[in-house]
Amino acid sequence: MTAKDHQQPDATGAGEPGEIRGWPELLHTEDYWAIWLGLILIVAALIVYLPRPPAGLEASLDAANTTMRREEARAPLRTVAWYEALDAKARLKGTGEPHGKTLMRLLAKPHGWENNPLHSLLGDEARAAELRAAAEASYAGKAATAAAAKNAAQAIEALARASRFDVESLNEAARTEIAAWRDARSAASSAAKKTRAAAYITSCRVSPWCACAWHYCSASACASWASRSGASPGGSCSSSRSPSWRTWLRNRHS
Amino acid sequence: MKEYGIGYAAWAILFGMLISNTVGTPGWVKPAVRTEFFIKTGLVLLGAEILFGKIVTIGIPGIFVAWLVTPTVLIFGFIVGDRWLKMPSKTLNVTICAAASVCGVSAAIATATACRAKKEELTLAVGLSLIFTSLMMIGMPAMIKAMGMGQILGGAWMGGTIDATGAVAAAGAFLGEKALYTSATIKMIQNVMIGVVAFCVALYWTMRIERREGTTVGAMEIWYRLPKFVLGFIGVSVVFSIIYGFMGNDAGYTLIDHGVIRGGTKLLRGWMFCLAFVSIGLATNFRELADHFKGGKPLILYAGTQGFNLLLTLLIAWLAFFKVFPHITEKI
Repeated sequence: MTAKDHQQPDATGAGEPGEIRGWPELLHTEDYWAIWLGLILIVAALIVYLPRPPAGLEASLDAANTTMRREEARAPLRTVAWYEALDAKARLKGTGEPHGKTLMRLLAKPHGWENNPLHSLLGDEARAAELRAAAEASYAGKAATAAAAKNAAQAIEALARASRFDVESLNEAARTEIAAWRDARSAASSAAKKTRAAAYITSCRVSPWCACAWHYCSASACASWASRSGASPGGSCSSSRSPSWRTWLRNRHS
Repeated sequence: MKEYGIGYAAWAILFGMLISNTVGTPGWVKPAVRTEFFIKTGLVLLGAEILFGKIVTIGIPGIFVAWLVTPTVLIFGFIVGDRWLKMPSKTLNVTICAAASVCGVSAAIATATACRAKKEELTLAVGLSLIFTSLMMIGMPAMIKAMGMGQILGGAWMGGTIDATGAVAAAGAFLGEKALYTSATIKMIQNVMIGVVAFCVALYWTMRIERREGTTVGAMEIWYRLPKFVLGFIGVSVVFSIIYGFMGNDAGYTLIDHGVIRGGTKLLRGWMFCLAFVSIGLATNFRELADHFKGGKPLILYAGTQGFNLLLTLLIAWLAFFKVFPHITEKI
């Protein structure tokens, strides 16, 4: 906030000399600048996402909603099929589309690290493979638990359905088993994310060109590498996709 | 460290303070140390995350918990700090109370801006909020499990008391899916209070604290003194709520919630807050910070306000979800 913004008004309310009031406020005060910048960023995000919905969005939503309505009409509880339709809707995300993924990569915060702070910025394929391997064991266990919980939920729900949902004890048991399945599914879903660890360079997620900048490499050197490796500026820094750039840079600097 | 609630905000402030209190903030960096500009822009972006349509889905119990308890705790804390603890600075008093009662860092910075608190006072309130968030996000889920409290009551309790939105989600997820849903939604409802509290604090400061004796404050003066970014925050929230309502819950979820917000404005807001925290650190002086902390009054105030918040939120959440509106609770 500027010093002018902090000035106190006098008793008549006319303000101190030099204080910005009226229409000029719109362009000359910090509060309005914050609003304009915020609005520009919001409009940019709207332009990116609104015109590009996931393919078949309406049809997928209609199918899921039809299932949910049917299950609601049939049962006095939220069935497994009802939740699966809900999950199908939840998977439809603008952030899951290519433009969303690109924007999220550009705006993402640095990664976490445990022993080496550099891992917040750089993660090579070897480390990613290590993380994936560590996560796989945990995920396998949780996925098996979730699958077993789903089977149990479906079994008790079938019993309740067979009684036309007239037996309240069966309905309650079905609710309990379905809730247990949902919790197990959440745990498995969180574990699954860790099995998708990939190599990264935080400072340059979009193009190998900035990988060169990271290493204080000259533009001509980058161009030379790009022409030799056939990389395009729209490529990824992920070493799984462009494994040669680091070796190439090392050789170049040596 | 992240698991203990020590996130980017703490690191940003610590690194900034380390630089400013050792080698000193370089002259060429100083023009970019615009704490309040970053905060205000971040809060305008935060407005997009407050969707009234989603607030309505959890219904009256959530509004009951978030909107009844929050102002009560804020006013209680401010009176205790002013009259009993004799806090030397009213701006520090209200900033700490806002951090403890509303939603930690975001509320602290909005309130500090509205009452024109010093940077050191804001740093102190933010620091206290980060420490308590860290303790509560680990302690509360464990305590709720040990007490055998249900997911909905536990989620409502955590959503109304743990300061940071991210910490609320983490603690809610620890208890289960229903707890996560309830806690995250109550926190979102509570986040609406950021704008309301900032507006009311600005109004109170203009009409009572900073008013010169024997003078009256007219409507135009209140307008001039009103922090205009609050209008941006509220305006963006209203526009996004209208767009969301127009698109419907399903398409709104896909394109607004999991598109424009989570894939754009929320990430940008995070960067704006990060820049603000670095700026706070770069502009904070240890000696002045120590002066504000003398006697441990800020800590006592924060702990007292948060303690009252814990008790009142639990009581109101139990009443709202199980006694007054049990039919809504059954549908969650």
